[in-house]
Amino acid sequence: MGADGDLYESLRLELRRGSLTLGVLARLREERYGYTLRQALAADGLEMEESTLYPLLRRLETQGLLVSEWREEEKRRKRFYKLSADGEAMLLRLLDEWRRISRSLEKIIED
Amino acid sequence: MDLVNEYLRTVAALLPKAQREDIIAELRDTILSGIEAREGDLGRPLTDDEVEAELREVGHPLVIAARYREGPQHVVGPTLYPYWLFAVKASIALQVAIAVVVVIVRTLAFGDFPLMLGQAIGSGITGALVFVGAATATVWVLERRGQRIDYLETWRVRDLRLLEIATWDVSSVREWVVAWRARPRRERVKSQAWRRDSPIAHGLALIVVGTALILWWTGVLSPGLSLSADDLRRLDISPGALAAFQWSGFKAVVFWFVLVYMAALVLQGALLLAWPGVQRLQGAIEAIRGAMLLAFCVWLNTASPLAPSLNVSSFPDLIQRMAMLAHSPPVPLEPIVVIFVLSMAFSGLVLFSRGLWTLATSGPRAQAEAGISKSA
Repeated sequence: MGADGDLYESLRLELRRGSLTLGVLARLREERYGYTLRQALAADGLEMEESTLYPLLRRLETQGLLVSEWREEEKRRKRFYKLSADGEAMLLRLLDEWRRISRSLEKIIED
Repeated sequence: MDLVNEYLRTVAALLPKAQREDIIAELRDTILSGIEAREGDLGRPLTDDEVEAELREVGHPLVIAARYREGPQHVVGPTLYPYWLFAVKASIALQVAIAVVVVIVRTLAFGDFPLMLGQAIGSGITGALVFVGAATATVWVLERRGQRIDYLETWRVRDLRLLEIATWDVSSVREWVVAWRARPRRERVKSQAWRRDSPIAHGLALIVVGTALILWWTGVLSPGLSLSADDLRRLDISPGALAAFQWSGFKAVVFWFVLVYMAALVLQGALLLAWPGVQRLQGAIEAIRGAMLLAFCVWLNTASPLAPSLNVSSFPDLIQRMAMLAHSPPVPLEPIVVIFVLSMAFSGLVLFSRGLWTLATSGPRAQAEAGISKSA
């Protein structure tokens, strides 16, 4: 990969960073544990590294947007995450903003 | 399985104790789920190499642990980086300037230019590294304390002139001197006005000078300007009775007093930056600094190891001392020291009375009128 490729990669990462949080919040309207969440996001086309996803989940929980609990499943204890009421409200607001940005960009591109 | 445990043990050691168990349990489940999924696909247990590849995919323990840590993942962030870079450049320029002066003075004294140059480069590099280290440590702390720095939002155009120092080179100094000489005298005085107008420039200057003095006094920085009696003779200065003066013994006696004074400089500068409008505090510190200087000079003249060489108790004494300068060369050192102590006493007196004056005349109203409170 040349310098151009590197530049594309860093700009792409920057572009994706905020959207990943949005994807995680939206996917957690339904309760999931880390591993299945990552698989679901990958199936949606949002690949995420473990070293990014887990700290993000923890941060969102500290911020009160997620709730979690430990439960036994398939003979192992797993940590299940779900969107909290605050998280639900935040997700709606962020989705609004996301649509606004998207509309603006579409408009600019069509011009 | 052993590989996974070993990996998790390393990650655990790097995590803060409070979250360790929780994070490791989750990480273990994730890694094992991944391995089981792979084994399901392949229809056989994974080899050690394949497990290792899975773990590499998860990430290096240092990276994993860092991602879970709160706070910034950098030493100097993009917000403070330009300020840090400026401080580093300015301090290196200052080091170079000091080194040049030291090389010239010492070459005059010892004559061995290559040796003096080598020593200056050596101490210059040490000094620059100390400055860079100090700047980095300061910014590191600021980044982690998440503290809002007033200056970043309240800087004023008239303070920006200070920044031009970093872009100075020989030609701009020459241009500046030419332009300054061409101006009429009254305007020359006026050009110094920014010192009084700009509390931030004044504050920064106090901090820089105070810090440099403290570093020198505590021995962190040694510009290599210690001259022995023999060096002085070579410079055509005759030490007289001062040849017997022991610097280290003297320094031990006054060490804390001088250190407190230097710390007061830094403190005053910091207070000026933090609350540029609170003039009474400035007045109080100035009065204390002035009193300290005066007391120091009185002590030097009467009770210190220097007293026999100074011993100025009356005006005729002083005249007699000054008359010694007429016998040069070699220039006697004693009157030079007398002049130095006298000017120190004079600045002490000025500081003391100016401090008291500020204390007496500036109330809250005066500050509001001065218009340099934070909100302005």
